[in-house]
Amino acid sequence: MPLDTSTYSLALLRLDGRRWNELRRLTAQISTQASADGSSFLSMGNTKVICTVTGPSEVKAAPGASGRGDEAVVSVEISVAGFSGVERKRRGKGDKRIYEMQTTIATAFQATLFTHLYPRSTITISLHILSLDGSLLATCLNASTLALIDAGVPMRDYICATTAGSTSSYSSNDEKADPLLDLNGSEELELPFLTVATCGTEDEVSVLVMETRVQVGRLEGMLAVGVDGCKQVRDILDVVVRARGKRILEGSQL
Amino acid sequence: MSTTIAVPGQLLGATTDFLPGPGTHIHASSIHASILGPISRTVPPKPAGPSKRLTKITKATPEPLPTISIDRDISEGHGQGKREIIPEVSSVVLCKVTRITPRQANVNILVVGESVLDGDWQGLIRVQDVRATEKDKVKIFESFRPGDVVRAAVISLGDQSNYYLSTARNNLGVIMATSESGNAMYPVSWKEYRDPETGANEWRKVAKPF
Amino acid sequence: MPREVEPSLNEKQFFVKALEENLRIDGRAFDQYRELDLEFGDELGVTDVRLGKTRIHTHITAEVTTPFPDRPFDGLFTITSELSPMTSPFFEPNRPSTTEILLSRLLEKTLRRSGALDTESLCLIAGQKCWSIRADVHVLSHDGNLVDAACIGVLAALQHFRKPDTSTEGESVTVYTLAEREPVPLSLLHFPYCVTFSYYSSTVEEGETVTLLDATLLEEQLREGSATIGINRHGEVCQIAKLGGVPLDAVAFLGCVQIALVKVKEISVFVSKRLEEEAKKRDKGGLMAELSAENDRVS
Repeated sequence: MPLDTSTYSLALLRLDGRRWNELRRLTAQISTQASADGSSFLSMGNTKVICTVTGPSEVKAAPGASGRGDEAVVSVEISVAGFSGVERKRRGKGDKRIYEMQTTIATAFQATLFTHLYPRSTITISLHILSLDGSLLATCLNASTLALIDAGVPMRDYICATTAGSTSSYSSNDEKADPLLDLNGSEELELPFLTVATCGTEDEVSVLVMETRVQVGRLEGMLAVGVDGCKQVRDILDVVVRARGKRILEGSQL
Repeated sequence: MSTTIAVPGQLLGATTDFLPGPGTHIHASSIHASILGPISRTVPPKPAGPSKRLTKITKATPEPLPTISIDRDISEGHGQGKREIIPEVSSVVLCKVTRITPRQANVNILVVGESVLDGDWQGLIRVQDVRATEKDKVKIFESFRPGDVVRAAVISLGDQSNYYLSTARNNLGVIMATSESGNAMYPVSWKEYRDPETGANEWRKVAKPF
Repeated sequence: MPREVEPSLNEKQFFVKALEENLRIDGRAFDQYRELDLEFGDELGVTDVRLGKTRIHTHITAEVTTPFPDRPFDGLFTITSELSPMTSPFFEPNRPSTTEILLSRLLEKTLRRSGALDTESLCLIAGQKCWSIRADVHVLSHDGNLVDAACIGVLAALQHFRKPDTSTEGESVTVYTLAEREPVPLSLLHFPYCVTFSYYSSTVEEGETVTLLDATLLEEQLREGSATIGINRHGEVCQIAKLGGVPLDAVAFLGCVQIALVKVKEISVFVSKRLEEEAKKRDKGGLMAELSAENDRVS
């Protein structure tokens, strides 16, 4: 791997000039598409995602659709644009990684939305990934939260997600390793990292996914930084949602 | 008016102070918002004073709690302040036939009751909903033609894309029709329109004129 | 596609009631595994794992192929998992269910991405010839906790497997038959096992979450969240997958990781004990030590 993260210890600055606990620039827009029931656009650094929510709507009468009678079913579709990465790649439907992400997002929101209010219906979340640079699952979760709020689906609280990594490689057991917040694409290739999503202001972990090897002792630090990062994300999303709320209020009083 | 906005998950108050209304939920014995929207508090009307003189000491009835709720986003009209009118079940609508098949006629709903709609809604008149009697003998092409203006009643909100409409009443059916040669026609019977220039008759499900 | 039969209301209520009284339906403690049984086949690299009523058959095969052009020094290691209609009528061939995809993803992450098998040791001639190791996981009976059982099955099979010995002279590789030379074991770097936790929150009083280990099928159908932790006995976490579900306190989650570590140590001990017994059975006349060309590994 040509990328060298060993320079981190010299100035305590990361490759893109951030400190360990800094998020990338997070911009979010809500209600971007008029045709959808709810929509959002969210970018965390260079990872950009458009999300649209349809529903709650009637269950399509597909045989075998797991439409449960007493609550709404959340279904997620993710499409990765061919131009999203550095190389143009065609991703088939059968990509297991994407499928795993879809199930993750669906089950996370199944537990947070008040699905029992909408029996025999589906809530469809469509995510379009325009640009890829790390923290993909986290970006998708944040975008879905915004779009669901826009769609007016009742929920317990925001689901906010971010990634956290550690500067040590898995083999070394040095104590100087710093946890890092919100990894970009090249850092993700190099360092152990996890994606964490919390629900609400308390440290309630809704999603936690880690795919790289890391010492068990390092996990606590990474998780703490990740959960703290989720709070930062939440504050940013909160501003966006409140701005939208203000617009609604102005509209209804005229 | 001091209305404030609540966001999902926001703490609204304790369950001892308020009753939860629509758009809220209870978590750990306090009320939280579950959707985005303005907070509204409705105080229940004060019960009128004791209707007759109290003869014995009873426990004071507990004061009914005000209900706290979140209004849904109702103003998609972006500042117009007008609530959009949409067709409801049993409302009478005027619509224009866009397409006919042997089983159904597709229509665009243009007017609901007395008000003209901003956009048009898709509707559907199935062959069994055209008239009330001899349903099995109804043929769509002998009842409607594309371009006809039809008065119909909404019988169901239907599937996701279409309202289901019915013309199975005397006062419902085609109210304006043009002939094959393009002239406006006048009704001559309950199932016929006549072209004033060519004198040819055409079949329609005619609405009874007032 | 036929739909999976959901547990009936009676079953559900009975389970919830039992959970409120700190009982599981089969009488186990919350953090107790079902009886684990590991059998080896006559062939090398064949295992049969039983975890309660869950039964998983694993078969390792090796063949010589050409490596991927972008990784000329690495051999191939693939894990294929199959849930056949034999397991349950709700699984259809050629149409992977969610359970199946998640199972294969978890095995992939735990065993392959964490580098449990040293793929560089499978290289014969750089860029031209390498071993391709393939693990076929067949679920024979599904009574919950497939991931943990499959992980044990694959790792035990990998340790049990012996690939034919080879020698390389210039550009030509000779693969010796079993009769010519004693086959050699695979080079495994560490042994990550999976531990799956199931969470139940709405069944008990608010704010409390019940955590169960090694859930049966019924318990899996009724759970509101789960987390699978892949960890080796040296305390290296290889993979965590808490894919949505009911939110869980971060501190409680770290507790789960510690429990997983304890459980993995137990499983490791069990598997190595069974492997030793099996080696003794195969070692007829105690000749194995002399036939083997391996150096002892310190791990």
